[in-house]
Amino acid sequence: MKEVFTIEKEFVFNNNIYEITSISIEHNYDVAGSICQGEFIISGDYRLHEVSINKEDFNFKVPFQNDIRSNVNLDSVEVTINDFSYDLKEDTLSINVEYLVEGEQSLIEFAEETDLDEFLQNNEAEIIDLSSEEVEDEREEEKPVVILKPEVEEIEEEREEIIEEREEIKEEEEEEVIEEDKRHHIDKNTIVDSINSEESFVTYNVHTVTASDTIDNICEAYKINLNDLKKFNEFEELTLNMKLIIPDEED
Amino acid sequence: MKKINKKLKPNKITINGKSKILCTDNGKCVVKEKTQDIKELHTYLNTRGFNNYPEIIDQEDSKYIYEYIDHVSIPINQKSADMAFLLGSLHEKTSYYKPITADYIKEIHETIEGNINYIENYYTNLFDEISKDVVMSPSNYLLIRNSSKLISNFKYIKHELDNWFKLMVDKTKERVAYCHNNLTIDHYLKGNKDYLISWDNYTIDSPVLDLINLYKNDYNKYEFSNFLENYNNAFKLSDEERKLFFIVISLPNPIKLNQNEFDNTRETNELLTYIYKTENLIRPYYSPQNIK
Repeated sequence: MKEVFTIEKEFVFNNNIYEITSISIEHNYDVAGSICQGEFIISGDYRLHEVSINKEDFNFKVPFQNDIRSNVNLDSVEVTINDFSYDLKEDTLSINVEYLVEGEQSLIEFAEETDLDEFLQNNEAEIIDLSSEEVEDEREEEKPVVILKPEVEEIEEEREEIIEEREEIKEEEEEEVIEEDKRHHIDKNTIVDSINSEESFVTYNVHTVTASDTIDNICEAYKINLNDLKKFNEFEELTLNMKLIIPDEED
Repeated sequence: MKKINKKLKPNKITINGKSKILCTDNGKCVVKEKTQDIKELHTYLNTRGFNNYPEIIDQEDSKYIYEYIDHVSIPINQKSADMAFLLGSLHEKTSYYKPITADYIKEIHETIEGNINYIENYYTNLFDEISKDVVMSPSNYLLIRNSSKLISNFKYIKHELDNWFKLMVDKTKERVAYCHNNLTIDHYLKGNKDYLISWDNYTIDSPVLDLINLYKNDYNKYEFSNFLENYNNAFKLSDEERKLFFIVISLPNPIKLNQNEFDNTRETNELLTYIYKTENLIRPYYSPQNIK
């Protein structure tokens, strides 16, 4: 909960005064039930006339009271003065206080990220990253629309390249792919991905032709038909060590 | 301001002139509008071995957050003497010579002369107007009774301006220094060390500028002759600088008269106090002992 309130108040002195030499604002507050109440104490000193040498004190109290929403943790309620200004016209001092009442909202916590994903798929909820305040601030200003489609494509391309390399370098490649697979896994696991789950994309495998391969058994091994294979590859007949791009059937 | 308050969560905010003092759980700090690049000034002053300014803790939007200085209150005459040393050391450490041309000197001479003539005319006309009244108001009476003081004051200024011009006419360089440009005794604080605060209007100009501003603000608050003596010990003013200082402070402002007789009398009294005090400050420098 974060709510900003403004109080404007006027005080009338007994006489016209020349200037406010200094003015302070303090506040105290108390939370009882669902009500936050307290007061601003405005104090300072003023000079009655240009020629006066002595300063005189003044002291006012301005009470305030605000309701607190039911889902807020009452222990966490805090009142902060956002802005304070004053204006003096003859015998009238007008003050303007802008203050912020904030409290923590009750949170639902997830032990596993997969649980969160599941929750997000079934419910509409706003995600606030509490680990960084700045991100939170930005989220307040601009609505959280996150489209990471270009990035997903990029990662796909990277993955493709790496798989291509795999065919050439047999030993090292496995580690890399595992790494890349991890990335992909993490990528799939993000909230963003679940938002964009309807966006389809094509993944590829690269097959290097060996002596025992025939077009038929390749099609059978990857469960695709010849036309699909020919869409992605230009070839008349198979040659040894030839690379074939095999679209992933599931996507 | 909102961002700062959000960050620091002050328990108490005090507005004091142009600055806001915030009391937070971690201590006090002062928030002021950024008018000039104060950080650059601090870097420069550090290289000159002058660190008597409040440090900037943070910067937010167009505001600087300064450390709050816990200061002790000391008698004002003592404070002014200490301030004189500090101001002298600021000018001493940051002064250098700037080449000037004859035209530049002539221009200054003409500007000051123009000012003198304008103000002299203003008062002569005012005296003429007042003397036409059959019954004078208290303020007018006070002014006319002291008219000879004002007239002799103008004579002195004109004479000194000529002397100054003679001193300056063959000069090719002028001494300039970093000037605080907003000095009053309230901007000097004594804490762990001495501080000059409120550097928002700082500039590079003749050190006389600081003295003129200070005198116009504080002439009635403490013994200025002591201040000047102490300042001279820390930073010796040259003859032409001192002359220029005396000329400018001797020139009174035009008096603002309105319908309120109480205000008028007060204004007149203030003007005359200023003239008498200034004369008392300057006169010893023309005594035969000092001239020797």
